Amino acid sequence: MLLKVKNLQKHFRGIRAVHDCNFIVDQNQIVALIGPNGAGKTTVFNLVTGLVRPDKGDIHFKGEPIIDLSSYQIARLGITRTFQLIRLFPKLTAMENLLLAKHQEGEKILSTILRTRYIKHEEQTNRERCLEFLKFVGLENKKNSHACNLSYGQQKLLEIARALATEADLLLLDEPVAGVSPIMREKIKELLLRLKKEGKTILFIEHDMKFVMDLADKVIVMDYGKEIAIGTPKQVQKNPKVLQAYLGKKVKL
Amino acid sequence: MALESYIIHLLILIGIYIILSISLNLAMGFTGLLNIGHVAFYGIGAYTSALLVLNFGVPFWIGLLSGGLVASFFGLLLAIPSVKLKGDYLAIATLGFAIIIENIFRNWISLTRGPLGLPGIPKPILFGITFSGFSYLILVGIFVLITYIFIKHITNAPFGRLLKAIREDELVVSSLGKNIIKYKIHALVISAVFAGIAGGLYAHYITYIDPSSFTILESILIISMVLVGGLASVEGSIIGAVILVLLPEPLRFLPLPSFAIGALRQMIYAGLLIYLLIKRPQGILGEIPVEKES
Repeated sequence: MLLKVKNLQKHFRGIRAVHDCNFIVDQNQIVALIGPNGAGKTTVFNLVTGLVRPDKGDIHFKGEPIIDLSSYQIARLGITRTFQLIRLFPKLTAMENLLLAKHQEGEKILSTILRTRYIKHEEQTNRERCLEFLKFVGLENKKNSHACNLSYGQQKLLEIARALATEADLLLLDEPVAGVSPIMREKIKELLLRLKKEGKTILFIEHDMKFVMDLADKVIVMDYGKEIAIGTPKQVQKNPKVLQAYLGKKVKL
Repeated sequence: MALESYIIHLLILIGIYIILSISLNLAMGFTGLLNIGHVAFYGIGAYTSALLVLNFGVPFWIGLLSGGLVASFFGLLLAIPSVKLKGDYLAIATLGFAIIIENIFRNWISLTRGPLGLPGIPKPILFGITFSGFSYLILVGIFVLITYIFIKHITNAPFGRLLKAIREDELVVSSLGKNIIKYKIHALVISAVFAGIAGGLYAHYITYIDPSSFTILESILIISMVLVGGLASVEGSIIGAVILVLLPEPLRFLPLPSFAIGALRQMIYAGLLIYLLIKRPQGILGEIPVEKES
């Protein structure tokens, strides 16, 4: 059990964004988080990554409670994420975007002044490592392009590459294939399967059901801030609660 | 002779403004902290150095460095509560800071003599040489060089990249595992050190300071230099300082009353800024402009 969310609750004034949500993500699985718009999926991501503080509940990562940590501390424990609307550093190059995922001695001001030679060496090592991640997503020939000049699909890939470059164990992907072409979708699917093989754990939000059903080991369905069904893609598809959440109740005519 | 010393005077002023604009650019251009209170650090440096030298007879060098140090302390004082603020809110907090500091200069009469100012600040003496005129220009030049090399070095390092990333999207930076508050404080404090030193250089050059040299208008001038030169461009800040110091100078030779010259100066600055914002919003040497999709 890598991530455990228990009785999680978050209200924004009168809106119950997340209300008593419980689920578990096991190591080395691909888990999909689905649900109608406004079900609270992205809020769960924000809560797990510490961008928003919950009102109530517990989140455990690798057995440790992370509820009181800042987002940067949580990231250092090994959780990383991508965003629903791509959030790269547009004026920096693809390579620089990735390098920022690394923790470098050169980012400390004192080392910048005093340990210049070590920092150059460190930067070189990190560049080589980041180039591997760029190759992994197939963007190695774009390494010096500014992020804002990449196509939408390439930006999606770059964002995934940046998440990978943090070397985190748990990747939270917020709609990884929203708005991308079918070819790119297959590419991202293949990418996520390769990541699973490498031992990563992935939790992703997605509205593309074919993508979800092909890929997920487990599906968590949310509605009105609460999980309403958890199971394999097949189990979830037949669950009456899920059908009701997506399609509404049967009415007699 | 008069022309020569006039040119030296202009060059010294340019040098001091280069230090100010480069250091402001670190906070404003690289880190995205719109600091309207930069002039406060400049003033603190000037007053600290002048008061130490006048009242305690410490050597110029110690006064100058203390000016930088005290300014950095105030930088920390300003940064800790305010760097959590975003955009305009930070601008307003720093504006308030500048006004507070200016009012301290104006009203702490027993220390600063208020509006009367501090006259007779000695010029630096080293090895029996009094620095004035050309030798002072060399001195300022050395500090400009140090500032340039230092800021260039740290902004080219991974540290600088991180500052830029904070400017672009601080939420993402923190979700990549970095303590953005810490880095913003570092940027603001370093920026303050250099502004403080610039203040000391100014005080010992002009030999007289009063609160009117450290008003918000001065901050606006430094901000304009950074904007004209281009955000996040160290060389741009140099060009910005040169242009904005030299631009109004020809007015001196026009047969106009002094109040008209002051007003004309402001109009020239405003005209230049508006022209640049329309024609080249990223400044002369700014980074590539990014069109924001909405």
